[in-house]
Amino acid sequence: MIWHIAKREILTRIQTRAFQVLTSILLLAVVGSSIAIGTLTGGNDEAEQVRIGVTSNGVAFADALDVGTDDLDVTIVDVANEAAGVTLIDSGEIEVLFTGDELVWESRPFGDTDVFIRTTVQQAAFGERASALDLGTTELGLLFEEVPIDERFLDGEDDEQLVRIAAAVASTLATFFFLQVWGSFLMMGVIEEKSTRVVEVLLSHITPRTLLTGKIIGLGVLALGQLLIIVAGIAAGLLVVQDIEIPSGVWSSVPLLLVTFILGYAFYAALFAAVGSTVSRQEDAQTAQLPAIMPLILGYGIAMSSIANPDSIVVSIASFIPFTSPVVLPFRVALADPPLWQVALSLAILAGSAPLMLRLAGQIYQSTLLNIGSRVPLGQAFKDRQTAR
Amino acid sequence: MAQGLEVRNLERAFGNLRAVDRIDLTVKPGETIGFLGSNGAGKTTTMRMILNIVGPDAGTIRWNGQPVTGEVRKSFGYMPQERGLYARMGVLDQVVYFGRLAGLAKNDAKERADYWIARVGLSDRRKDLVQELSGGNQQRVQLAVSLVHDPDLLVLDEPFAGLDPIAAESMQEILAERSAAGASILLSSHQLDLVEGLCDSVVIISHGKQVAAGRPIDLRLDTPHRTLIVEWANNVGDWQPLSGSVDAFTGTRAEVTISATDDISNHISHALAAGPVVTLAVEPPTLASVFSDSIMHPLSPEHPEQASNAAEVVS
Repeated sequence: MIWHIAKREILTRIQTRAFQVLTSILLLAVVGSSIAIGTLTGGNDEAEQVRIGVTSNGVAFADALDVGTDDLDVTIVDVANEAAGVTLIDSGEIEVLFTGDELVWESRPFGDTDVFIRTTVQQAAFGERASALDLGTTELGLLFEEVPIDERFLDGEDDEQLVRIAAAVASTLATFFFLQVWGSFLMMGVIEEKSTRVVEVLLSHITPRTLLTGKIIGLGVLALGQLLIIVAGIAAGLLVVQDIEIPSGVWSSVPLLLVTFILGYAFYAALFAAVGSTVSRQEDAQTAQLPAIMPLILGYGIAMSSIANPDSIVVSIASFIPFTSPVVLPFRVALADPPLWQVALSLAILAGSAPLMLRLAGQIYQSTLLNIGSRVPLGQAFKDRQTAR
Repeated sequence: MAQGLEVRNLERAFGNLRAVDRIDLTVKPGETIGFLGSNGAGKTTTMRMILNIVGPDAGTIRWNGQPVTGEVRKSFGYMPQERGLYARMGVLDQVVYFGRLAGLAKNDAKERADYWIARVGLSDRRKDLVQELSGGNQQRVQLAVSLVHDPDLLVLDEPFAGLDPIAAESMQEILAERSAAGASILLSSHQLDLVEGLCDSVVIISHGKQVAAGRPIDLRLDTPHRTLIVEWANNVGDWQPLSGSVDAFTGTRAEVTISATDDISNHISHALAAGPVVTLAVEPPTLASVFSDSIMHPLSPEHPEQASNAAEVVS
């Protein structure tokens, strides 16, 4: 019976414009950003082509320049004189002309080529002068031995940290967005059934709990499907970016994100259904959903304001409270490395409260479902919840 | 073992309002009961309790002598007062869906939905969304939804409201056919002429209490008044009846309320004496007038058993 209801929810929801538009936008966003990341980083993977014109005065350095670097693929073009070189620059056959004491560009250059030529020429000159001074390769090596210099940022930022912040923000945004959107969808469905009175016919065949469970499962399947598309898209995008190393913690937080989302969805879907059942008209939906939206926004706010400070006590506490944990827990895990037992405890609390919320919401839903007309205050609905059958 | 629906001492209050106050109903197989009462009398709440949509505070509801379980309720069909359909769902899909909720297998549900949609005359609209249909056509879909699983008990809350006369007649035919097939039918309506033609007996309630019950004709005969109608060939001038009060008099036609215990022959001779008579009739009050009388002058609360037993006397 529950499956019939879930199936109807899925089939009718898939056919709605809201769903189609939302899914297309999400798909476009994910695919678009993957492509964008791919092109940006893909450009860096390939070495830049540069053709250097060299006159007779500069030809001594041609061999050294010809080596190039990983990022610079150098082609040496022999040029008779400066005038010929300038012509080649004008016709775009070389990028730069080296005359031995001058670099000639079309315009002020960007990128690494300028520095590359100067360093290479300097180094070649060092080699020549060293032999003039009778210095052997050993001495030369000693002379130019690199002084190792590491770098450190006081704000803790590094490449890995950036990726973790991105993962934390993405999962917080995704959970916040999905819980709110799908909670609202569910609520609209509840109100639709109330306002069209179809609920009366439904309840003559099935219990409110069956109806509520079926609706939650049906929309949940779609919500999870949509979330998986997003996660897959982001994962694909990150895989394209090969030169950014993804910390292993980010990958392991994906299943956690999904588990948290499923539990958080069950919790919030029940809450949205309960507040939805207190009104009979779509116009009242905005006001009615406040009790469900506020804690979500609170959790979102806590997470977003703690990016620089993910170890704060507020984040820790919020990751245990079932009203905020669906949004805050994935954030905390991605950014703060909480002890495993704390993550397990958070999930356990959420997993324990979801059925309680389902039960409470089911009772409120039952007692207010037939109350057509003005909005039932949530407090009243809570008090009346036992009186339904 | 008692057959059909048996409702005993049903009670339900909303806050201080006693919406349903010790209501008894019996609907045997093949029987159609009209459930009458003014707006807010408690009809809908009673029907909802039978369908377990609202829980009773007290009283029993039994089907074939057994308590009504979810499984039993699958053989009940319900048509709520207002349209209860998904607006953005196709006609056929909708009827099939409710058939499946009532426990029908997939193919069975499809077959019966097709049959009933054809039966209510909507075959050419079966792919349309419900919201594209007129109010009357939505009502037909609603009827198909309540009939798709071939229920043994049909509970219809204002099934004729908003139907044109032809649609109402077709609905009457379908209900009569279901009744002949052995279904128990409980329906509420304000169209008392339809009720009288369709129902074996009626139960009238007011403020949650039963105030009258019985076969329509018995209720009409069980009144202290009759209407005497006389039409003469010529103008009879200032004719006055033997007794009773004149409701209407045109010179050639008179409508007079007389006592039910009067000797009719005296009235007839008196009318004949005035001139040649074209039409002469003595009728009991209409069901509508019985209805308004019972609501205005309910049975005294000292004799509630008089009211509650009446339904059974008939059935």
